[in-house]
Amino acid sequence: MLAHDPVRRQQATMNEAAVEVNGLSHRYVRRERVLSVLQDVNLVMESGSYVSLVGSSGSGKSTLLSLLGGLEKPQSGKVVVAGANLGSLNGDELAHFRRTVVGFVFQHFGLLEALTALENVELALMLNGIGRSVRTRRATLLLGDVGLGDRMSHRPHELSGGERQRVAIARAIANQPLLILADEPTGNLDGEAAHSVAELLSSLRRERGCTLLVVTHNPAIAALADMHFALVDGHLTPVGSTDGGELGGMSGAMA
Amino acid sequence: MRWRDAIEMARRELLRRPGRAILTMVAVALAASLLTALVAIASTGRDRVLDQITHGGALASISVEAAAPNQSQEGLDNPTPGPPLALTASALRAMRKIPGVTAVIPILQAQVIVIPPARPPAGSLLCAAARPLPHCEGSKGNSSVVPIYGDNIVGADLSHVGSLPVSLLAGNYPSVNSTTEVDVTPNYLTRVGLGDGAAHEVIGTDVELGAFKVLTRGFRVALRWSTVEIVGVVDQQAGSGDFLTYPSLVISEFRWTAAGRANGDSNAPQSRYTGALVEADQLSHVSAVRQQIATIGYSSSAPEDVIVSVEKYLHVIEFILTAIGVVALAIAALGIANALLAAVRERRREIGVMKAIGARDRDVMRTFLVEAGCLGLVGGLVGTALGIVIFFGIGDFANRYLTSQGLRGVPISIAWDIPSGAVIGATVVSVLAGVIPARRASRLGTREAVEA
Repeated sequence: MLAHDPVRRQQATMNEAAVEVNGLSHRYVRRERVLSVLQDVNLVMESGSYVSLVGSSGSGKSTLLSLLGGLEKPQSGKVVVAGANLGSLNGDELAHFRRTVVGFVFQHFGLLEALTALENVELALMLNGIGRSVRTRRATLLLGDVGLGDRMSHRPHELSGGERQRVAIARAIANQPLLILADEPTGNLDGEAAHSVAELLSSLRRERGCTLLVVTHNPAIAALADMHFALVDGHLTPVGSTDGGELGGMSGAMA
Repeated sequence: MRWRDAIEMARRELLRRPGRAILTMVAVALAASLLTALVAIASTGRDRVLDQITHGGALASISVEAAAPNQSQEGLDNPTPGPPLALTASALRAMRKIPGVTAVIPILQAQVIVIPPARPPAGSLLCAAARPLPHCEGSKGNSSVVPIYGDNIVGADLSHVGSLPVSLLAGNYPSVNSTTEVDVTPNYLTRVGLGDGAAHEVIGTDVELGAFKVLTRGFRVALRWSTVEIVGVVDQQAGSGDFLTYPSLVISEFRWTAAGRANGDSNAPQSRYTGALVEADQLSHVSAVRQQIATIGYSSSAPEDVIVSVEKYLHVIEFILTAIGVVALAIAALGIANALLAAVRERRREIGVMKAIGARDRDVMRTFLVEAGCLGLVGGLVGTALGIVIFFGIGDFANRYLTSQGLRGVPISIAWDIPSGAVIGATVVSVLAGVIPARRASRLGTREAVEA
């Protein structure tokens, strides 16, 4: 089912797509009104690819991310991530999937105010059952990697927006996920901080081999992606590559 | 998530809003202190009342008379005994063999002539002695002579004093098997002209006890004197007499007097035993044991009916007082539930984030339950400690009042199960109060919570 072991997962993903979405539709019922958010979405992302996603407000971007990240179960269609059919997983299996396969980066950072930067990163490791000494060592290294080695004991409100997002990114990669899902990661950041975060996300693919799906309206971040999609009225459509050529890293088709 | 990690998370969250956490804990602490104090007071009051009924003896204690049973009064708690019947050692052995009997304590008695010490004028040489006599200090008049009087000395195995209707008012019990130490009753204090509150004035003084023996048919009597030291003052219902000690001294005095029978003293007692205390293993067996004692041929009395009915009333009082404490605890639990529901509302997004990064529903639930448990445990510990202090304070106040009224004080002690029960109860009730908020938190939709 799930390739939980990192080595096994890496071997598995060398031969298969990181993400496969077939005929995915999703709708919400709000005040007796049916909202079709996603309609017959198909998507294949190879391991190590970097995909950007744009769309107007309410177009279904966040819904697609939440379905790919196992926050919700698909209503119809199939979502397979790292070999796991998310529609067939129960609550605990989905939680395990979120712990080990995906890493989330939110626009609002999603840091726990009661915890320091180090403890926020440790939290992801703690939920994965990793012992105190190992998780502290690993979280320290991760914060050093994102340039926050000197801010580990600071609480979120003592950090700038860019620093908070870098803590969130460190937390997202703490369990060495295959897939990073970032929802407007620079939406609350100024130009310099946004650029820094964009560089950091790009380095994740380069140095760690992560697959990235980033919802963004920031051209700088979009420019780093090798695939671009837009969600329009619930339909996922490609919008071409940044270099104007073929969609680099893509082996699948979109509908 | 491991329990240790859940505790650490709970600690962080509680410290994040210390004011709310402290106020919630104070509510639990007040409830736990009320519960502890009320239950302890109820328990002590129950012991005190039953102690008064049994005169300090065991609840399942049966008093056996040196008399035949009175058939017409069968079944009464305190029947009028039948004709006198010497209580023999073989009868006591038979009583020990009755099923359900845990102890048979013979009560011995010997007649003595008592010479209380005179009260010399203040400043006399006697007053400078190591053991000053009563009313030495402050008395400026001539010495007053307390009349010689006849009385009984009661003997019982005081190593089983918990089973005897004996309560120590002041001083100590005599040393084990001592033939030179006695305790006296408040009646002795009255005889020597002292009040109930003057027990300390007789402790340490000596008294002369004379056992008499008729030497010939006629008027010749020999007295054998013993000097004994008063070491304590007791309230005793074991026998009839102002003096209480171990059997050794009584046996010695009895033998001297009983020897007079050979010289024609028909009043000399036949048996050294004037009664016995038979202890049943439980209150419900007292009736059956008493029937067996009647079968052996002796009259007995036991306050079993009184105890049963009084116990019922006391249980009602205990129930009411405990219920007050439990209601207070329930109100505190509602406070915890309210505080945690507020926390769930405030931390909605954080709960969503935790679930998004891999927390299971039960991890979220565990965090909130541990928070509730921590509030209950700390509040329970603080409150129970406060309750113990309140209980001892009230007990001390009550004892001062009782003493000022010439009454025996109440032993102020608290059974370990009351404070431990209060702490465990506060913790369990708090955890139960946290179940609804914790379930609500754990069932939040991950995406909705993240986007809250």
